[in-house]
Amino acid sequence: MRRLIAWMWLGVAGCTTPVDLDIPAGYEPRLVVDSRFTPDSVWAVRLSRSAPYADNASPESYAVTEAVAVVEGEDGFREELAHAGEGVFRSTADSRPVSGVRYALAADAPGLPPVRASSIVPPVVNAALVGLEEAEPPAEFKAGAYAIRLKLHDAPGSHRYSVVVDALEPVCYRDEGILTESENPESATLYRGVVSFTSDFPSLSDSIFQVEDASEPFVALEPFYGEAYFSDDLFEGKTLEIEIEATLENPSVLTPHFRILVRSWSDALWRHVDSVERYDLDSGFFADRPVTLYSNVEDGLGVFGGWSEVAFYVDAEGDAWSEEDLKTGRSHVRPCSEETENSG
Amino acid sequence: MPAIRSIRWTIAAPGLVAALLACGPSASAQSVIVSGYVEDASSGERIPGAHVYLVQEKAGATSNAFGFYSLAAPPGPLRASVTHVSYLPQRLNFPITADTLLVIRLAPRVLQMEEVLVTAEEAPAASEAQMSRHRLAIGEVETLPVLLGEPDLLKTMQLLPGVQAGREGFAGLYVRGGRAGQNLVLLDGLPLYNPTHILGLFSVFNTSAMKHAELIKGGFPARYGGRLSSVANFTMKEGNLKRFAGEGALGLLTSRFLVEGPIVRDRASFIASGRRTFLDLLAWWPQKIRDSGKRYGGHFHDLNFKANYLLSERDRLYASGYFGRDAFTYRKRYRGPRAIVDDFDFDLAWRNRLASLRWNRLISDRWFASVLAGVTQYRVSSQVGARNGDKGDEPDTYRQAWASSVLDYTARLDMEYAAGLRHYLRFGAEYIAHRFTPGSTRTSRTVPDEEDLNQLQAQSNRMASRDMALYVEDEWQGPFGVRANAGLRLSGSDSRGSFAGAVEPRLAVNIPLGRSYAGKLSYAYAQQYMHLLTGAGVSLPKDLWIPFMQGIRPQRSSQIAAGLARSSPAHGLELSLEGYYKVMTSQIDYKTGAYPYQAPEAGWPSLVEHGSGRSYGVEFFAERRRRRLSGWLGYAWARTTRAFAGLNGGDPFPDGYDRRHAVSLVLQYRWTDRTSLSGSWVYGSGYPVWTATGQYRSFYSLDSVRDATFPDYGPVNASRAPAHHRLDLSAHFTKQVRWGMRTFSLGIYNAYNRKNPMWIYPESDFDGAIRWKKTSVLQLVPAISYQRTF
Repeated sequence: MRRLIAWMWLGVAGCTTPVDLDIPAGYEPRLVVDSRFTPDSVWAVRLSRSAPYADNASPESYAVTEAVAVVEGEDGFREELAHAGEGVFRSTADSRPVSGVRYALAADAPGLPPVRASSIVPPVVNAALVGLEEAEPPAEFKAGAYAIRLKLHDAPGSHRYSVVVDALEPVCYRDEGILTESENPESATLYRGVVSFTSDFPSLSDSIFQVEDASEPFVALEPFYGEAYFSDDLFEGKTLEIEIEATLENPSVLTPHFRILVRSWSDALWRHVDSVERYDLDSGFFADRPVTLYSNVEDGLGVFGGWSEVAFYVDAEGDAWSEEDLKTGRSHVRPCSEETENSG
Repeated sequence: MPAIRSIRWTIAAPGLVAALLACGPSASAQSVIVSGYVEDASSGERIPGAHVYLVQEKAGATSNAFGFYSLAAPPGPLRASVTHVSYLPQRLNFPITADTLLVIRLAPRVLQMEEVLVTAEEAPAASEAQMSRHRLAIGEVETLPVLLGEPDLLKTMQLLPGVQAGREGFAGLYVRGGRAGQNLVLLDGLPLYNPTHILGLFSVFNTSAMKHAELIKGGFPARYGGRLSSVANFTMKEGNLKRFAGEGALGLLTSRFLVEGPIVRDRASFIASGRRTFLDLLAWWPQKIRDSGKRYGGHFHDLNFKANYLLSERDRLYASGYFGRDAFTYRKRYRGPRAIVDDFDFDLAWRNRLASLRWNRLISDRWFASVLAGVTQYRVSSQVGARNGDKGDEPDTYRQAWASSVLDYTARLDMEYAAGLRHYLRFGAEYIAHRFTPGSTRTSRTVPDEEDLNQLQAQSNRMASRDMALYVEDEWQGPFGVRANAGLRLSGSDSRGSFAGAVEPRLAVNIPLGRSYAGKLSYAYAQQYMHLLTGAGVSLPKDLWIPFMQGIRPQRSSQIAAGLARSSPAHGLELSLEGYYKVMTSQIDYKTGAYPYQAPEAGWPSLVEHGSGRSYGVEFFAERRRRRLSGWLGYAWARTTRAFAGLNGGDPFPDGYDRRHAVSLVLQYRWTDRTSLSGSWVYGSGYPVWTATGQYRSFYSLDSVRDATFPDYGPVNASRAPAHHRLDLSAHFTKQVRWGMRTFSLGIYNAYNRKNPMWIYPESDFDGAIRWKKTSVLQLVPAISYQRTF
């Protein structure tokens, strides 16, 4: 709706030009915490400092390399993270967050006010891949569509989720009508294949603020790309069966290999991303009061928040595949010669 | 010639009235009462705001919203003048020996060149007790240069000193440091909660249907209450009692019509008017031709209706209504090979509805009573609907709706009593039952043949409150021409189990200083039992009204004003210089990061900050009314600050509409009898902007790969936008034609193409540094309209 409003205004007659504002001097820098953690990741926190508005220093110079950063869990976990370069403080014991546990961070850097923050890692997502079937066959210059069915079991209480659909970068693709093999298929970067998807579960939104703010109904004019967000308002404590229809944007990909992630978000991280979205959309419009980014960092900036996720890997024929398979050469991704036979 | 009638009338005064009389004046024994109505001689419409001035006694009265006036005079020869900005002055000279009912008929202004519109004996502004009041002449408003040729009463009020418009092009009213939600905007006595169209670009008042418009910026009489900052009072026309008449106009933005006429000649009449934009209809054909299955649309419309019936010489019934709506829509209809149904609807709408029934009774020459019952509603809503399904199946449906509304039921009694030479009493009571719904949601999903998947979630955040008030005013005419309006308002409200009340004293004093000058002083204490919460960023039209409650106190204000007024009737000049100081307490605003959707769980009190505001300034206003050249010059110097415990470290900060200097110059020049030119120039120093003073890098994504620079906002509203100024011009060509009058108007808004910022925002440049940009709209906007009256 906000975009609708903004475009409506601009439609009247608008132009954008730079404007000189007199910005007050005397800014005092603060510590910025960046930590988005999941049970699959080793504990890491990036610390940096904020700078005066007119500062033209490179972003690297904001990194805080001398600091004490301690993470404590309500399960008794405690570790002082060590600086691992560029302001990133990492666990030296390869410790990882645990689902369902609340953690607190205390960080102190010379010349900056000390900060504290806490967040939980949401419990493991209880979801299952029911299956995949071809919804529309591929045609020349048009990729096929695939119906992916998932089940999500929601625990009692309020939860916030997102679903990510992406795909393996094509190993074998059609270039001017000739099947060509990627130069280095083993090292092909995962998940670069752009997937558009729709769903029969209509409360998916392409932004968090539309999920949260009922006065901002989503406008699903286009399919989702990458990630779609939803709450359990319509199925709290129940099982949701959801069908996703996914299409690779690149029609030259012959055998799509999908990855589907279902994420559960901590409140801190959800609210932070919500505010980032609002900032992107609203900042400065009508200028009564700017949208400031949500931060759960006391006396500082940034966010310290957890999430958990479950991943499913399925190819166009409904077979499971894994990243490990790729790494060990047992990939389900066939070489071009097989694709040629298959497509012929 | 005015019609003159003497009527003897006897009535037993009700107990309350008797009590007021007992503590009232004693001068009436030596005076007679002259009372009655001021009417339009051509249509029979009653005229509010007409000034009846007794020349020898140097005393006067102003006709009320229904054209009624009453004043006391010593028996003997009566010399009086009657004036109104839109009518020819009338002089009365005849003897009176007893209480007299006098109906005064004024002719609409059709004047000779250079005729002075205000005569030497009237001096209305300088002789009134009320200060900080501006009455607009509707006819003049219609000839001012305006955006897209759409005459706009609220935008005309923005040209008065002490009134801020908000952002460029908007029809907002920010009066003497007050917020939009602190204005009592009345249409035929009932409040309107959002008097604007198109997100605030135009006001809802169709000038064709309006008879009277006034703005009171301070020193409010006790009969007005419930808001802190201003009273914007609009009265619809009543309808021509003598003949059928009408008007039609075509403009760039809207087209409008008006019809009026007698239902029973000289006894009952009606007026109906409508206005609508047609941009959606113009856009319909191109969309149909393209046939993409998608349709966009948007429009607004207004309907005004009023009827009145003279039950007797002393009784009159009025019924009036207003309905206005804005709507934006998007429709998608898709029929594909697999999913045969894939429909999507989006609707955004907001509307004002208002209906009232009023009974006016002239109980005696001294007593006037008015009873009002009415209902008003403001509602904003949005809705999304989707239907999709496979071939041959009943489609799945999904619907998500959000709405916010205020619904009021109002009952009001107003009494007026001419107690004698020195005192004119007003008293009354008001009761308003509010029903606030600051956000209700309803989400449903229907999957045919799978009942366990059908879901419905509904949440309504409805709150009720009841406001009550009693008031009494005495308009006193003391020795040496001193006039005062002293009043008291007892108000109270019951909201969600909490009760709050207040004693609100009001005072306005006029002290003549010589023949042409008058010193003025006013004080008003007001309590407002509701709050308007405005969200960060794009908030229009989603401002939410909530009542006071446990944890959110009613807002209060005290305003004192002093000034000097001068009338120079020989030159048609009115001058005033006023200073004011206003304190507002129990103000609320959203806490950082708080949004209304959190209210059902967290409760409203936990979402808001409490604070206060302070505003002071000086205003100068010079108005010239002559046949050939009329207009005004306004200047205001003002300062407004706010302080909230959780904002800006608790330190006071400039309000978002704190503008130090504001100038407005309005000129209307009648070149010939058929051609008139008008222009307005406004200047305002820059408004405050809350900008970043720091910056920081933070990850933009969950994978902690991409990061971006974000602003760290510093002191609230510590920066200033550039100054704003603009020149608007228009020309009007009028010609008598066979079926009445036609007027062809041309205009240009922002004639020298000033790029005034509508909003200012940060943007990261290629080098990653944040720079500030301004978006300017409404540059060199032409206007053209054609109007026919008959």
